[in-house]
Amino acid sequence: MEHVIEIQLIEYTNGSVGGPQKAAIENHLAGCDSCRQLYEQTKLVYDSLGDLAVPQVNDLTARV
Amino acid sequence: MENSATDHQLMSGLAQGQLWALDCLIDRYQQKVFALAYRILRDWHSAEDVAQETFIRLHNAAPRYKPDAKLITFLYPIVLNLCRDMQRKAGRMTQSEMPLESISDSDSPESIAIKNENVTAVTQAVASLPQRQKTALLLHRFDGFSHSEVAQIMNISQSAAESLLVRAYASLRQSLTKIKNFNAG
Repeated sequence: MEHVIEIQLIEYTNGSVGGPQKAAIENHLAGCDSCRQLYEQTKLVYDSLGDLAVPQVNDLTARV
Repeated sequence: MENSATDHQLMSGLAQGQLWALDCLIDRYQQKVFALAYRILRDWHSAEDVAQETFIRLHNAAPRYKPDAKLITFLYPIVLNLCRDMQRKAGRMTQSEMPLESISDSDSPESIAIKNENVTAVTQAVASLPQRQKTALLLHRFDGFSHSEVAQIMNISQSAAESLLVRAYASLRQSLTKIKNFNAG
């Protein structure tokens, strides 16, 4: 079985993959434990990064 | 303020000296620009300085801007270059505390503690990444760029962008899955 290439998995997690490629990845993940584990760990990282807050910038229109 | 104008229309207006166009662009992009600089520099004032200078440079570059790509792919390299210059001048930037996400009143003390631990762990793991990996990761994760767009913004090959992203995610997976109670939920 050909496993999902890691960059494809990252792009899939990021929502950058669509159409037949997305369907193929999902189909593979449904049947491959190692790729699914890698995907779940990648998604964990991806979701956790979303917790990093950024403060609001002051309006720059007066400064530029 | 003409908020319905496209980026290309605003850049065209700016190139003709219409300063209201610059105000529109600042209003539209200042938070994104600031956020990228902040995530790299981890210092509010430095990030604000970078954001301000970015729009000054955007203004100066307007006459030579070509509308053949998204404006943000023109804007972000300016931010990255300014961040790099600032880091070179200052040596290694000291990292200020990154604010934690807001915590819901309904969160239990235990879940608050776990969440704070996770955020701290993620912050430290990202800060520990080599600069180019961190930049690629930030562009990919927070702006939703594909690896080919990351390559364009960083002025590197697509294979180099792929490699940076793969290594960044691998490093973070390794760092974060070691932590007890680490859970995105």
